[in-house]
Amino acid sequence: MMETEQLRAQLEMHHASSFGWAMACCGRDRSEAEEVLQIAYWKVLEGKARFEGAASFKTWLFAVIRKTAADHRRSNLLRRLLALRAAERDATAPSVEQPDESVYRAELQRVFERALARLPRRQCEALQLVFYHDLTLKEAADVMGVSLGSARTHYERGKKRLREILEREPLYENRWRGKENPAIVQ
Amino acid sequence: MKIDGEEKRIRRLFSEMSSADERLAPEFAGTLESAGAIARARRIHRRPTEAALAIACAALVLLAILVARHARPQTAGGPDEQIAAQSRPPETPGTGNSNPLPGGVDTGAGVKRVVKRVRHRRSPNDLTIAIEPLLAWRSPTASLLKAPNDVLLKSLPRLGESLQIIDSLSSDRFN
Repeated sequence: MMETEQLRAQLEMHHASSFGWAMACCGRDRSEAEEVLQIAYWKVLEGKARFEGAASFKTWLFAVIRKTAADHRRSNLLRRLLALRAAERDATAPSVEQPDESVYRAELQRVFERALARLPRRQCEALQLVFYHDLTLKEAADVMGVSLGSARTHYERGKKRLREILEREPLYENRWRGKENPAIVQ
Repeated sequence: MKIDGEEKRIRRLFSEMSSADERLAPEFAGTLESAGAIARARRIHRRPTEAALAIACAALVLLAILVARHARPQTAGGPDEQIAAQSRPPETPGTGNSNPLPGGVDTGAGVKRVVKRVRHRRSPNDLTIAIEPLLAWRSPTASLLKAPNDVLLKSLPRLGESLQIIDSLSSDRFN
């Protein structure tokens, strides 16, 4: 069992990646991710979720955040529906290509996030945990609460599906094939 | 894990996303403060809920007691009354309650006590009505236990007496 001060220190150490994971669990909704993170921290500090040392602290914390996000999702069904509508509006908005590199990168990022949002939840989680948080497949399986084989399947299928989605994106196509921003005039 | 070109590209995309998230991430202290606020709010919210739950439980217990008290006089044929009814002897004039039952079961003082215990709730006439069918009941296989020489087995001939002069075993009886 950890003391409150130790828990606080651990939470602070993993704060940035915890927020990133909360964003992934909340469909890239920042305000929801912040709420989920606050509730998860409250659970940890109040002892509602106890770290027993069976896995690493990061893996355990991510599992707590994932569970909290799932509970939050269920309790905020209406909010989710509204967010879905907003996302659809966002997806149907015409993309404007600009030669500016930062704008181009931001647009690429938005396309990438949309592609991730189209993946099944488990596949998205597996990719996020492995590529974003540098977890091994075993650790990712622990966070997701599935077997290693199942996590591997989600990971492989997620990669395949992500590639298929991105290859269909005109903005992404060049980059995916190794070319940099074609809009920049040298 | 084998890292191919595709994985490198995915990793780079996620890395860019990670950088963007870091810029968006709220301050740790602020998040912790909000977590504390949640804890305080939930504690405050929990108190009235617990009080309401306790009151509801107390009300339920009271209601159960009232219902039980109200229902008790109407529970004719309750378990102890049935016991008393089954073990109570027939009320024949002049014999009282101490007669043995046909099966030879002694209905002594213990049974009387049981009957007394329930009598205040039920009149003697009601008990008699309830007992009558029980007393009239006979086992359907009781006749199989009867044999012609039952009397011979139950009586003892005197010294020098012939079986032929025992009245109970005369041929008239069995023909």
